[in-house]
Amino acid sequence: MLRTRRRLMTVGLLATTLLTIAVSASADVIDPVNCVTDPTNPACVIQIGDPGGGGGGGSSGSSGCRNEQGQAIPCFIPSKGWYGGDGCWYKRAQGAELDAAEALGGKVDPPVYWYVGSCGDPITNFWPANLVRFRVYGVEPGVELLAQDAIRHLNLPRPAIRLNPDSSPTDPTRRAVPQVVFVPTWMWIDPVVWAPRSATASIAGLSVTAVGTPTTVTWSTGDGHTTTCGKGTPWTSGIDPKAPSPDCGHVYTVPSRNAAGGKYTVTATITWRVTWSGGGASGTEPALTSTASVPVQVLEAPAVNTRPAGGDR
Amino acid sequence: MWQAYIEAIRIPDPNYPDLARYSQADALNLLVRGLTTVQQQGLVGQGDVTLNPSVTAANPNTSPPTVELKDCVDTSKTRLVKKDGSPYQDTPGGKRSAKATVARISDGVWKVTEFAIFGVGTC
Repeated sequence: MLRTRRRLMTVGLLATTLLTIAVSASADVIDPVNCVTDPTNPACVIQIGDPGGGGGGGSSGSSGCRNEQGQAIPCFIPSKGWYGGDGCWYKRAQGAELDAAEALGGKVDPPVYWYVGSCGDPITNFWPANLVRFRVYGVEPGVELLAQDAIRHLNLPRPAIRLNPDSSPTDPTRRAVPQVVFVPTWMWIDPVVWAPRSATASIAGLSVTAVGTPTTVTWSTGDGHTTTCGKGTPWTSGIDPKAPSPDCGHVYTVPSRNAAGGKYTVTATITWRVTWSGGGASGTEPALTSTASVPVQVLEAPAVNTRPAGGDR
Repeated sequence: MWQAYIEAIRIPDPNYPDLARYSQADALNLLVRGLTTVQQQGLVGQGDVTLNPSVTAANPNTSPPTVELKDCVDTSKTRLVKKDGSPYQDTPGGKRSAKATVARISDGVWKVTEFAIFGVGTC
């Protein structure tokens, strides 16, 4: 399998000029895929699906390519190839076209190849005869398109913040319990959220799956402290509430009464590693994040586990 | 073009003849502006950049025809110092993502018409 690590980039160099000159061409009935008249054409629509498996999440639906004016355009045109994001549709350059590309831009070595782009406007079916653009691709442009689309549909969930003492109850009808200074706070992300998410984009027989995997959580505890953890360990009843979390905790030393609203804002940000594979290629993209916050009251006096007859005070 | 720029900044000379030999338009203006600032601040460049350009696109229908390049320019072995030897602290160099458009003016004559060079650590 060809492995590439690259950022997906679309260059909109030609698009603006092309689409402003493409105004008054007559529609052509043999236009193979006009996505304005036939938006359900499979070649116009990227199908988004959750490939299933244990990952959970994902989404289903459809998406498509759009020009700079936001109009739907085909991602793939059988005679011209894949949309390059720049007003041109690309397929591998061969023969005279390859010669022309190499004459201007030089030879390129595998795994990258010259592609030839037909530049124009499929909506008005305006294809200036001589207007071509050559581009060098390592991954087929359709694979790049689908990878971008799959990543866009990952629907990475916001962190479900869990704390002990329970200031962020799962059941919203339950009352939030305040934190107490010098009593260890346990912090973790609900396991429902802490799982890989995947989405698959497919079109014209080509399919790319993107996977988002949670790697770290950055906690801002609202009192000026920040800590980075994994998912954290859930506190369960039976564990000594005065014991610190083995891997993700905090100890407040200053009560929150002087903070805005008398509460600190606890923020958790999950960093998701993003990878994709399909169409004979795979790659890693820049990480994504998702964030959530909860207000947390921190009290000064130990308000729990004290009894008049306890003898520990 | 970068070779001409490196030679120019060692003097430093915003009117270094090779600048206009290898660049024009926006690219040349940017180089001249940068070198003028260096000159006015009494600075001079040292060291050399490492280049590894590759072609990303070719536009045969533009006038003149153009080729687009990308590069990862390594500036870690370069620095700016005061020409008179007084202390000056510049920011450390490193690998910078870069792209450029090169126009074929005539057979065998190419000039950079525009370029963009991004921050340290972008490639």
